[in-house]
Amino acid sequence: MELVEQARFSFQLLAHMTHSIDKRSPFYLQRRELLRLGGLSVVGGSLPWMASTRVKAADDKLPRGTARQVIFINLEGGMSQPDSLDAKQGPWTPNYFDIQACGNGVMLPVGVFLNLPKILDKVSVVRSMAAWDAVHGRAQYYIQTGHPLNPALSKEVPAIGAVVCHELADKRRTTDSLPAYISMNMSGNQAGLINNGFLSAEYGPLNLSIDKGPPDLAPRKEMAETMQRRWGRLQALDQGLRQSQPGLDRSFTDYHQYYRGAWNIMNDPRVPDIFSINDDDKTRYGQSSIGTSLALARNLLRADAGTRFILASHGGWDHHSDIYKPGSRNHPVLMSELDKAFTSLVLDLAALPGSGDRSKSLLDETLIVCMSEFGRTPGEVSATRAGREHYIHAHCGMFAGGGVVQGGVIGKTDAVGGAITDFGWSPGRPIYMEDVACTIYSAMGINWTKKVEETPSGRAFHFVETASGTSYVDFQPINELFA
Amino acid sequence: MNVVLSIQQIHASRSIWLCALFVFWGMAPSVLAQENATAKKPIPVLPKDADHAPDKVNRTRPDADISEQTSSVVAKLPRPANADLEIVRRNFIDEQLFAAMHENKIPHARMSDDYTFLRRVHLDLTGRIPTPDQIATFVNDADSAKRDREIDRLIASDAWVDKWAYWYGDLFRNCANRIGNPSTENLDKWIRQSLSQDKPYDQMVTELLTATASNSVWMPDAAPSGYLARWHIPGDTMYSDRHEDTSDEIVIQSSKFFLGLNFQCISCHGGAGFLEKVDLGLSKKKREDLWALAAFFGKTRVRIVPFQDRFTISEDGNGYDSHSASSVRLHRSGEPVQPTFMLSGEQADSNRPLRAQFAKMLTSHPQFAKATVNLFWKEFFGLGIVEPVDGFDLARQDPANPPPAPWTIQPTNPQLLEDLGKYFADNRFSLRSLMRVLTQSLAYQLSSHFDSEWQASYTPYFARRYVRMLSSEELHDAIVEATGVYPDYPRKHMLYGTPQSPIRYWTQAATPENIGDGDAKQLLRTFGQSNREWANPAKNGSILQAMMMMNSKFVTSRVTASGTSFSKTMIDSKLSDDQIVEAMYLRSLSRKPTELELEIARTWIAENRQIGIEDLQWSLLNKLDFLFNY
Repeated sequence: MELVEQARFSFQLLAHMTHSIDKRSPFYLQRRELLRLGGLSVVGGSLPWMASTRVKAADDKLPRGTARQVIFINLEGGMSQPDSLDAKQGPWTPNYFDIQACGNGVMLPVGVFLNLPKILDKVSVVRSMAAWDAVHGRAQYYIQTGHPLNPALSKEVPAIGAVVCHELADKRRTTDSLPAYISMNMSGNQAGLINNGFLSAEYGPLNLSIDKGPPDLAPRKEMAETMQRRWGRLQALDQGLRQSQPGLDRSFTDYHQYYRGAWNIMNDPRVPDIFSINDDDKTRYGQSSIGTSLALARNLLRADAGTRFILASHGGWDHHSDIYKPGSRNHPVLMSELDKAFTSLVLDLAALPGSGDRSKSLLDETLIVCMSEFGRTPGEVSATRAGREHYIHAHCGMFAGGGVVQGGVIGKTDAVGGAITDFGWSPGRPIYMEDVACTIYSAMGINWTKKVEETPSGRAFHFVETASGTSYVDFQPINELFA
Repeated sequence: MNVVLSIQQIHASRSIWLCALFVFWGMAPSVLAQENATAKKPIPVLPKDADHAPDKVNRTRPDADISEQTSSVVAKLPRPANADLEIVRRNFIDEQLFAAMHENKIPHARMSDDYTFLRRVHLDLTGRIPTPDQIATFVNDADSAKRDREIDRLIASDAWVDKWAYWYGDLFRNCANRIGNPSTENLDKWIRQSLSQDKPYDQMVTELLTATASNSVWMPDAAPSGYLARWHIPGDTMYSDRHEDTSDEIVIQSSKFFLGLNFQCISCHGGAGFLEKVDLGLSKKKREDLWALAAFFGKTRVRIVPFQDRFTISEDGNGYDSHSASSVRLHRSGEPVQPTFMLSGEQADSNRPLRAQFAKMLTSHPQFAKATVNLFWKEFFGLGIVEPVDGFDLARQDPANPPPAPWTIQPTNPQLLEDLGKYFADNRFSLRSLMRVLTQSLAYQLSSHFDSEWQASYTPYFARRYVRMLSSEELHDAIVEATGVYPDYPRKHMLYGTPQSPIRYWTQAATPENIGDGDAKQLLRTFGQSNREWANPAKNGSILQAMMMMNSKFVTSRVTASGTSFSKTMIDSKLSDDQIVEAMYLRSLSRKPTELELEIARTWIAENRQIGIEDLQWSLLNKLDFLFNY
């Protein structure tokens, strides 16, 4: 396995060197970057390998198109990699964690992740991720956009979800009454909720605040009649401002369009069912905000009422202190919440028929990404307050569905989970959020190298930029995630 | 060298695109700049800042008597009238704007009527809608100077302090998550005190820029220091510090707030080769110029004290290192820099405190006054004279020294901007005086309704009022005021355990982080509340906002006739159906219903008193004129 990785790596390096004459200096930089980041040998592999990879590389620019919709689970605050999907036994590990090797050698605290081991055969675990920023705001901005934050740009940059929905716009049907992009529990996000940017407002997220129960989008049954009457009365009373007329500020009639959108959702007969979760589901998904969110995500996709991108946030992972403290909403509690919710989601989607192709399962059609904005300091917890700080050099995540390899694992870290020892994918460097963005676009059938010229400023918007905030990196889809 | 160049080349694509936004924003208003530039009008002598009596507003709210009170109020209210109000230029703002309109044959809207004016000026100055009592008193007042008197009264009120202290908290992003709860509350308290005293703005800014803190929590003197500490940039861990990054951030943010200049572009790369088509002034600046500005903070160290909600600010640093690493930008590599004020080229005297010199250079530069008046102009007129308000292009300000084609002068009315800046400086940088002269102008008091067809080309003339959505805080306060169901959010006593009154109006809070129940928080977030942690969200409409207004518990529970709700008061009153409609319109929309509205709503109440009244309350809150300041 490692040899193969190295071969691919070497090929890329050589390819860059060969091309560097006509492709100008960026490739010099990239070579330097690769050498610095990878520290790997330049020798290895053989010519046939190179040749075949070269063709593949060209093919790779074509998007895969293996997914029809996306659920992105945002573990907000920074999940600790040595305590979760890349578990490391150490003196700090609570006894009940019971870390064991599970499918494919993934080390998991089976005392906390009670259910996850059962579905590892449907999931790919990635342990060689790294982040650019150690501050929540900037790093969460990355999670949402796949771009480095530049305050001067931020008004124009759309979220990944908005770009996806923009690209899928011509697939939207008249029966699709729900917004294409729905986010959940993002209003407290430290980057704010990133919107449609320069794209049309219809691609922006509808953000739902979800606690233990789903939100009341449709009026309660006993209020339905009242709401109908009130809507009619409001239209009569407010017609002067809601109908376009000369001399009237356009803001009023524009705002009325939001009312019309809201009214459509409130009256869609599918909505009450989508937004109700029965007791059995509550138990299986867990009585937590992420449990409710993911049960709702399943309902949304099952109803196929127009929603194609769901960003579900699971907050509270930022444990600078008392990371294992009993009786608090500590890391193990959050892991346990995630365990129930994530496992139930994967199992339910696997058991439901696909919306686009009934011969597939809904899981086959849905790319699930589950990750944090960065990791946490590895090894011993801090002596002062028994917690872990922000850490950019290694973190981990899970991918499932939408064509992702079932039972895969990518990347390895050292004994404490602090340094990546095997990147596990061809570029031979850490996997960054930009690469995840490429992966999402590719799976959704969107060419990630695309750019949009029609921006308000008249300057192109690149779906994924070729440079991070501080370095040049050739970002690409994680091809190793797909069969 | 090769490598450095290539980084810049790669970076260029993003940077140019980024910077081009300013071109876009600046484009429309510049169209008319040339014509306006020629207009030169005498500046009338204006009264100097008068002393103001303290707020005499009755702060108790006799909810029990409301129906009786309102019934007497309704009977006495005159019909709105505006057509007859004469357009008489009131001050130098009118001289400039109406002269420009006259010269270019731009028609303008009529004057706003008393009801519209009162609601508008209450919201703009204090963030709250007027009460029925205040409306009745005002519209029945025959004094021709009543609008001026109302403005004076509002500017002297506690509500004015609440609105603008909270506004500054948002602007500075005063956030407990960054500097800890005690320091957040201290900074807020300091802003409130400064506004209450009408502290000259140059002095206020100087205190912010020169604050030190040996211990941010326990020293009241350190109160303004939270402003600087808030921009602390950590290194690899939260509690380490990237000293040059922090210095950069402080001068970048301060230049935005206080000079209207955006140095983000040149914080990563020089302007040459990037900004020629974006910002003429900045295209001639280098990254080193920004470093030289940041070098005023070169010895300033902001240190977050781990785990204790505290920080310190001291002057024990080694100076700005132009070969330092960066957490947020390309690493630095350049010539050593001396503290130099970019706008004037003035160098610091290294034997004297650097930050005091910086504050002096900044507040005494004409750009300080111009940027500040433009910032507030936008708040009251909906659109800056220069847009964006933090995107002044210094090479395009002087009509006597125009930029080469195709560039135009940037301000849509340069003389007005000049006059406003001078007025602000001549009136000892008093924010109250500034807001008074803005709101007393007839230009501010024009109707938002335009009698003929509105043309986009009229926009830079301010030929009518531009409507805006209520801010999330204003909406919260308007809903509780209209329905009479007031919250009593407990205050956090972060530092001194003295009991304080609960919070009724949102802007009485130091920070959004610690107040409000779940329903209220959801409403405010949906309507674009700043969390102050990160970039302030755009104030856009959304589907969810409409849903919140129609179906959220925060709204519907206040519509229901129960407890202290105004619906209940109305049902229990002995008022006629018409009087009820009028009283509810007055309380929610600050105006009388039109004939048509009265005709429609009275039938609802006649059909079923409770349902009709509840439906009317719900409809009034969902009327678009409730959600907007027009």
